[in-house]
Amino acid sequence: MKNSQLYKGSLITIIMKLLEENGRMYGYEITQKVKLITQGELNITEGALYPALHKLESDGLLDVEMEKVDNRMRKYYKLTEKGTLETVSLLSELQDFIKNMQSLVQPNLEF
Amino acid sequence: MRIKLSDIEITDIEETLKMNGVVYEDIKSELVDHIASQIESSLENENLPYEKAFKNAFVNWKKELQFRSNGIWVSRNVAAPKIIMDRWVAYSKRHFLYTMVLSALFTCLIGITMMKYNDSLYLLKYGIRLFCMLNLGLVIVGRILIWKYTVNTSVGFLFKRRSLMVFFMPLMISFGLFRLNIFDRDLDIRYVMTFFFLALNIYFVMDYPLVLKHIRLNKELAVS
Repeated sequence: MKNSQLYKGSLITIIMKLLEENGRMYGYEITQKVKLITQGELNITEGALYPALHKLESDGLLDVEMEKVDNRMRKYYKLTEKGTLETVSLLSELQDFIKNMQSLVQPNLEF
Repeated sequence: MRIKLSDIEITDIEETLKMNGVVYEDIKSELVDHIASQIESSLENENLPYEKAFKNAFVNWKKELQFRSNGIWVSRNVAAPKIIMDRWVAYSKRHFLYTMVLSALFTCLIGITMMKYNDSLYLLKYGIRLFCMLNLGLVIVGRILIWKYTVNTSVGFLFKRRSLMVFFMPLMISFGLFRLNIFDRDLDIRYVMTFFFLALNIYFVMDYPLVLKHIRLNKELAVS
């Protein structure tokens, strides 16, 4: 993950936002979608993705569905009702954070 | 045309994961799908031979497949790949926190009741014994259910391990072999003992969802 410290705190929000947009997704699909959207800039590692997904599942924010696809099992994740509400709150928090960061990085000072 | 791995290649991934300690179906099935998707993508987009794509995919998982143990939260004698151990540790930490909070709450409630009604001490003593007996029953039923639903899951293993660790304490309390010092003249000792017995029992009760999850996973894996 490029400059992982900056992205680390936003991983959960990124996953939930993607699930909100796409309905249900499986692990590999999430990593590829992030790579595609960020044009390869952001690469979510397996070691970061699965603990985050499992935590969200334990917190009741994600629901899982198992399905046989071709010759193997696939585990899909989707937002629960609680997860959908949490996504709205997390996105709003992230937007505030970005706004504050922009103010700090490019201050438009007027005297 | 999309490249799809054959049954033999999927079995190859499964066996490699098993050799690396991923023996629980709930986690293994997810990793098989992820690694198979990685390999298919390499075959399709990078034109790599299967062996090379297979090797590259497992290199990415090297850190997650390293064996770990955690003496505090799981057991010193249990080792598992990092991806599994991290899940067990996260569950154990959360479970411990909930147990402590609930036990403290109930101890306060019991303390208030004891101060108001002196007769409630006898009720408490037999109440705790009954609670222990019910717990023992739940553990036995839980272990039978895990044995009955034969697909090996990480949650099933965790329940078996944890119930084994504290199995004998409720057994001793149920049959009066472990003295309940809740009649101690010292109120502090009385509350500490009440907290201890409550914590032990709540710890057990809160593990029971692991059995239900094991059954649910067995059904899902069987249907699919």
